[in-house]
This record gives sequence, structure tokens and C-alpha cells, in this order.
Amino acid sequence: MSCCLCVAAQEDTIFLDQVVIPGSFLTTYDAGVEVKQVDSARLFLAQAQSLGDLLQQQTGLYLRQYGAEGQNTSVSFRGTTPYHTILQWNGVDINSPSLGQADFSGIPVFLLEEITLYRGGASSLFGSGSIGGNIQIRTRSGFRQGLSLVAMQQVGSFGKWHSGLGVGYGWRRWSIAAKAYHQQIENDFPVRYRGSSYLQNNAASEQQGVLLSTIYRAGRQQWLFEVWYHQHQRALQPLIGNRTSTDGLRDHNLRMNLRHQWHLRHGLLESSLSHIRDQQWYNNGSGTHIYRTVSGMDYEMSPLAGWQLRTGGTWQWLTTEVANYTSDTSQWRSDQYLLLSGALFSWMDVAFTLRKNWMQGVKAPFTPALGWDLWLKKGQTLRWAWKTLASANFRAPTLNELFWEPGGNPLLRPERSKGVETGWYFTGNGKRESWTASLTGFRTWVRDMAIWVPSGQYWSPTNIQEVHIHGLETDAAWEWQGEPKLKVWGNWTFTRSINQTAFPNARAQGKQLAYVPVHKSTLGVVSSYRRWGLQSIFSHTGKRFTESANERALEGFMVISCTLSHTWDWPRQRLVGQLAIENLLNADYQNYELRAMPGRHFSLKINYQFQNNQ
Amino acid sequence: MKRNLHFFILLSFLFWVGCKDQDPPQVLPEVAGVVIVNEGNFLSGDGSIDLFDLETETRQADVFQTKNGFALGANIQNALVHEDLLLLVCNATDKLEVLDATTFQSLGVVEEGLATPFDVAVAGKYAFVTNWGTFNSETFAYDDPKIVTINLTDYSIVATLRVEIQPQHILVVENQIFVTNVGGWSSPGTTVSVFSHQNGALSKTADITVPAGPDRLVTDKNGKIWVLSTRGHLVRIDPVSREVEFTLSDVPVLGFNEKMTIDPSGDRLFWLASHDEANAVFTMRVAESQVGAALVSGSNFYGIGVDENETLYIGEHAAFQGNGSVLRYDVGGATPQSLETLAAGRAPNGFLFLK
Repeated sequence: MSCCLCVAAQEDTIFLDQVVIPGSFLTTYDAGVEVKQVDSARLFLAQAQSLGDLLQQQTGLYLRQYGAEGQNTSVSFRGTTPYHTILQWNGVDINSPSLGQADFSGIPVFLLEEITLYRGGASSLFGSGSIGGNIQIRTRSGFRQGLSLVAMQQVGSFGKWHSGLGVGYGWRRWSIAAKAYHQQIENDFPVRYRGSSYLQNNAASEQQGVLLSTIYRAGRQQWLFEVWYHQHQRALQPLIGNRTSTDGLRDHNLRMNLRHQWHLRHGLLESSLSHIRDQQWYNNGSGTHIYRTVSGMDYEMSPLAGWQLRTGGTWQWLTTEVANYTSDTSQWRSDQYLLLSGALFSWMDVAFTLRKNWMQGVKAPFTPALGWDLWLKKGQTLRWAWKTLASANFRAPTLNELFWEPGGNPLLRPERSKGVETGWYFTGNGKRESWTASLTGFRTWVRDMAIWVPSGQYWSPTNIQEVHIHGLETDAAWEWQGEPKLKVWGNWTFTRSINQTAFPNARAQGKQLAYVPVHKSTLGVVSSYRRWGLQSIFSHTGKRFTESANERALEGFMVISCTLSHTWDWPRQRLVGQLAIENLLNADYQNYELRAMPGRHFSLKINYQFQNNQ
Repeated sequence: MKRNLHFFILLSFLFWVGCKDQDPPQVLPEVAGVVIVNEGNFLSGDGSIDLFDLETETRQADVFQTKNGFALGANIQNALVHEDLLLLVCNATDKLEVLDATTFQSLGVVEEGLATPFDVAVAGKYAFVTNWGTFNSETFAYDDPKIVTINLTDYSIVATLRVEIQPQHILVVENQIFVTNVGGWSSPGTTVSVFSHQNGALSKTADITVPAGPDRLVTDKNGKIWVLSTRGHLVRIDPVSREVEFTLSDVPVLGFNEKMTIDPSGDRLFWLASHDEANAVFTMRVAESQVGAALVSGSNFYGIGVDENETLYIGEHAAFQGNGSVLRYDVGGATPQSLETLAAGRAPNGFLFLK
């Protein structure tokens, strides 16, 4: 009913006839919310990348990369900071509760079956933190019968060696799948420095992990259990010119999620239980350890024809072992929500959501949202909708902000925001072509943003900053289904994110936030002819200021990547070989100040898939 | 036809992007003025030096980058002008940058053999650099502090002297080298070490016992050495007898990385302190024995300097939220008169006055 901004899925998806249990209830409730799903063909081509690399290269989101592949990568969504976007796996937050942000370099695309971006203040739909947006990833989208296998091997410049293996088997009521991956890169690329060059030191990265997932379905019930264990060891890439650093970081993440869906006579009952263990060590330190248990329950029913009502809540208990927190720091959080969505008229969908969050020691506000989709033209060849969303959102203080010794401020208030956005969406198709286009304008007002300022002998976070954001996003895609097939897609984002506060820095008032590019644009051209395919992506990130008075800046940069692929098909089997050139123009650029990025580099990838349906 | 379209789009983008020409580095006129030393944000490598021309009242930001065409890429802890050289002691990346003091052109750099260098002093052709040592993430302390001697004619390391306790500031007075041993946060040092040197090799000649946490040193018009300590003491040392002549306690101070300066005539001391949950500048003439009320109060004070016209310069760091400023006061009269504030880089922590 509501327009999901899906770019049309490619025909050549290998997994056929899967019975898909809807990945998220939210496709029904997102009237007004801008949703974008990364299509499966692009996911396939990006299999050896991290989620951070894929989002930076292909979407309007700006990802700050603190160096080459494997280094910390955090997101800026609609002019906000990395604290304002939550990353959720199977509906569970996997941001670091201590830092309040997610590191997208540690999310391998190889594991992902769905990536959905919810732009805008969708706090009411998802809970705390989504002032800028919400990124949902799913590692399992449905039940598959029969045996399936996938094997991937990539080798590339600077010691890149990525391997992935997956196996799945589904029979009768059971579907079990397992995936394992190992990715490493040395990152010893040449760095230009003072008229000569040297090979980048101390930037190697290695990550490995395993994902096990089981689905059991019986009649009206379905159980899904997933366990994901991930490890990441990396040297921390130093500033350009520093050839003596030996700093490193190690992460261990264990994520477990159990979900139950029960189709009752009058509604759908969903329950979930998750346990997340995040551990991180810097050099030889004692590390930070955070353990969370989250339980959730949701009930969905239809009170009237054409209307859905969903209500539920989550409860979370968190414990920590962090040397710099007051000992035995623990915290509970809970939220309850109500979503009502339906067709007010045949040409208008509305959604109203109300959410209340409770957190130990923190007063969190109500976050309501109201959105509507107007279908101005609904036909076979052209559909045209107008979406609007108004919402109030918040971002809860992070554990570091509350509990860091010295300086943590247990009285820190949550950041609050109000946002409105409106957009026009077009989709059309002809005999052999289809296209989509959208234009969205948004405004967000954020207040009580926390800034660390000196307070006596220590630094302490205080709610002082106010930021006003406005911008435009435009997206378009055009696809030709003839022979050769051709698809062109692109997006352009304009964001002005202006600090309103003269304290603590008077010269920062009225200026763009640091590391929020005003312009970001991407163009992709994908063509395929018989067994050959060629994908070129041109990704441009505009100038970014590196400090808040806008007196220092990093130039904009353009990165071009080209991938040539060849496919061999047999009954039930497919082999794809890919040759890729990254940074085709050998641009000498920095995403983050003084962190070198590699010039032109290459990779070769082989991907094998087997699918035996019963 | 559609395949050609793909290649056409690819080619047209290649032409559009093209090559960007590098702008040649701007040549600066040789001016007399104030060098504002901006520390930069910790680990961000955005330390810089600005040149403020006193005659034209104009500021050139980041003269290292504009003159040399590449980024400094480090935090600047301390800077020194010695004859026609400008020395920058940098952390993260640990190095000593040597520039021409009038043109700011890079003459040489020492990038190896230093471990969290902090301050520098020059005697003849030798630069002596105090080093805190290597940071230990288990103990949160610094291991293996040392003093490194560098030959300024060829930028080679001549000698490395391991010391027992974290050294802070260093000063050459006549033929002796004085080093304050500030120590660690929980176990402050209590001595000022005195060294002599032979072709750059240091040998200790005395340890002067002082109150805990000796940090900043300056010399006055009478040739005496004043030491400000992190625990709130101001001490006067005679460099010839190597004895403490005068001790003042309960002095308001910052508590860490003290900032103190003396006016060019060597008569009046100025230093920063934590005061009333914010900051203040205190002053005392060398003939006096008591500290009066705060001279100037404010927040986020991070650097201090005073020129021959009795203009006080205070670096203000704006909570490290972007570039900071320099507050200026005329302190020649009975009460300080506020002058025009200057823009600065990130966290201005010091000033060098060029003739």
C-alpha cells in the first residue's frame, strides 16, 4: 500500500521461490517515512565490501572513513552526527552503547540479505537515536528449501584476501544456514608525503566471523534463531607522516537473536529475545565490555478494514565492565509504542505513531510522528505519490556521557529534535523500461545537543548546542530490459546543517557542522550483455569543513570504480568472476583529515553458488 | 547502442573530472609580528602556526602549510625562536620541525628517536628535547622518559639521556641546562635537574629540590630562574648557587601543563590558573612577594604571552570546538584594558614575538 522506494530487483537473483516472511512490519507503517532498500544485484556485487564502503560509495549518506579498508567508519545521515543514527540487526540496536555510534567497517555485506535505509526522524518507529535515520540489516530474509551453497574468494591490491563460505539446508519445517567469512588486508599502499612517498604503515585489518541461523515453522508459528560472532583485529591507521605508531584495536562481538511469530486468529504476535556482548581492547588496555539483554513483544491486528494497529515494547538490561566507569555501572531501558496506520481514503494512507522511552536515570520524552502518503496518480504505467512526515525524536545520552570517570554527567538530558519532510515519488514503466524518481525536502531542528566542555578540572558533557538542518535529496533510476540490459541510477543530496549556538565558540555560530558535506552525489551505470556485465560507479563527496568555525576544510573528492563480470550458468549452479578497479583516476584524497586513502587498486573475485530446490 | 551509451557516460565523466592543478604555495613577506602557536586537537594533527602582523593588524593562518605546501600533521606542544630558527616540538606525529624564523620554510625535521617530545632548548648548534616517553595503555603512564640531543646542522640525534622521571620544560641559562621534572599525575616530581653538556652529551651536575610538580621555567631581569609548579608553588632559584632563594605557596595554578610567561624586560610574571570554575590570569613583579587578585578572568584560557608594549595575549581554546581566539589586553596601566580579539587556529597555547 505505501510506496516502498525499492529500486526494481534484478531478475537474476539466484535464490528462487523463497517464501518470504516480511522482513519488517514497518513496510506497512511507514506512510511518510522515506525508505530505501539496496537491491539484491548491487548487494551481490558488493559482497566482499563492508557495509560502510557500500553506503559511502553508492548512497547519499556520508560515511567518515578514518583511513583505508577496515578503519573506523561512521555515518552522517541527513546532516547529523554518527550519534544520531542507529544500526539495527533483526530490529535490535547494535550501536556501541558506550560511544553511541556504529562502526560500519565491521559489518560484512557477505552476511547481509537485506539493507534498508529509513531516512528522517523515524525515532517513533524504532526507538532512541534515529534523529538522522535508521539503518536496518537482516542476515536472513526467508525460508529456503533444499540445499544451497555459496563460496566467495577475492584477492586484491595491498594484501587483500577475502573469503566467504555459506551453506544452507531446508527441509519440511526446518531451514538451517551457516556462513563464515575471513577478510584481511595489509593496506601498505603508497602515501604521498613532503614531495616523496612512503608505504602506509600500521593500517592492516583482519576480521572473521560466523553466522548460524535456524528457522523452524509449524502451522501458524515460526521460530527464528540467529547467532553472529564477529572478531576484528586492526592496526589503527595513523596520521599522514607518522611512521612510528603501533596502536591497534581489537573487537569481539557476539550477537544472538531469537524471534517467535505467531499468527493468531485476529492478529500477529511477535516476541523476541536478544543478547549482545560487545568487547573492545585498545592496545594492551583492560578493554571495555558491555553486555545487553533485550526482550521485545509486539502485537498487530486490524481493528477496521484497511487499518492496522500495532503495539508493543522492548525491555533492555545492560551491564558493563569498563575501567573508566564508576564500578558496576548498569542500566535498564524500556519503551512502549503504538502505531496506527490505514487508508483514510483510497488515495491517502496515514500513519500515526506514539512512543515513550524509559531509561534509568534519564527523562526521555514522548516521540510522536504523523505521516501520510497521497497517491496523486495510480496507474499501470505511472504512479505518483506525495509523502509527508512530521515527527519529534530524541537521542538518549551514551554510557560514556553519563558514566565516564572523571567528567561523566549523570544529569545529562537527551537531545531532542523535531522534523518535517515532504517528498514526491514517481515510478513508471513502459514496455521494456522502468524508472523511478524522487525528490524530498527536509528540515530538522535539534536542541540540547551534548558537547564536552571544561567544567572545573575536568571535561563534562553539557546540553548546549542547537542545530538547524535543511536539505534536499533526489534519487532516480532508469532501467532498460532489452538486450543489452542497461540501468542507470543516481542520487544527489544537499545538506545544510547549521550550528545555532555561540557558546563555546562564537565563530562557530551560523556555520556548517564539521564533516557534513553540503553536496554528495553518486551515479551508477550497470550494463549486461549475454554473460558479461559492467558496473561503473562515480561517487562524489563535496567539500567538508574539518572544524566548526569553517576555517579549515578538506576538498571534495570523486572516486570511480569499475567492475567487469562474467557469469557461467549451469543447472542449479552459477559461477561469477569479477575484475574490479577502484579509484580509477588514482585520486589523492582524504575522507577524514590526514588519513591517507589508497590510489588506484585492483581486485579479482570468484563467486560460486549452488541452489537445489526440492 | 546501449553498450556504447555506457562507455560514453564513463568517458564523459573522465573528461569532466580532469586533473586539478595544485596552487603554488603562497610566498609570505618577511614581517615582524606575533607567531600564534596553535596546539591542535589531540590526535587530529591540526596544529598550526599563524602569523599576526602587528603593523597591518592582519593574520596569516597556518603559515606552515601555506609556505611549505604540505600539512604539519601534528599537535604543537611548545615552540622556540633561537636566532634565525623556529623550532616546533610536535606530538602525534612525534617530531621536531625546524623552520626559518622569517620565511617559515621547512629546513629540516627529526622524526625518529623521539617519544612524546614536549619542550626544547638550544645551546650552540645543539637542541635538547625533553620527552615524556611512550604511552602505556595499561598503566595510563609514560614509560622511559628521556632527553634527546639533536645537532641542528645535520638534524642527527647526537645523544639520548634516559631519565627517571617525566621531564617537562627545559631552559638554557648561561652554560647550564635546567629541566623541571614534573613527574606523573599521582606521583609528581620534586626536583629541577641541572646539566652541563659536552658536544651535546648531557651530564647531570645537580638536582635542586623544589615543591612538588615543577613545571614552567622563565628567567628574569636579574638572571634568576622562576619555576611554577602544578601543586601551586612559585619558586625562585639562583642559577649560580643552584639554590632555592624564595618560595611562595598557595599560588593559583592550572594543575597541569602550566602556562607562564615573563614580559620582555624580565620584570613581571604572568600565568594562567583555574579560578572560580573557569580561568584567570595572575601576575606578580619579580621584586614582589605576594600574588594579588586575578588580573583578567574568563573561560577556556590555554596560552599566555606578553609583548614589549605590555600587551597581554591569552589563547582561548573554545572548548576545542573548532578554532579558538586570542584575547588581548593592555596591562600597562592600573587596570587591564580590553583590546581587539584575534581569530586563531585550534587551541592556541603559546606566542612567540618576532622583532
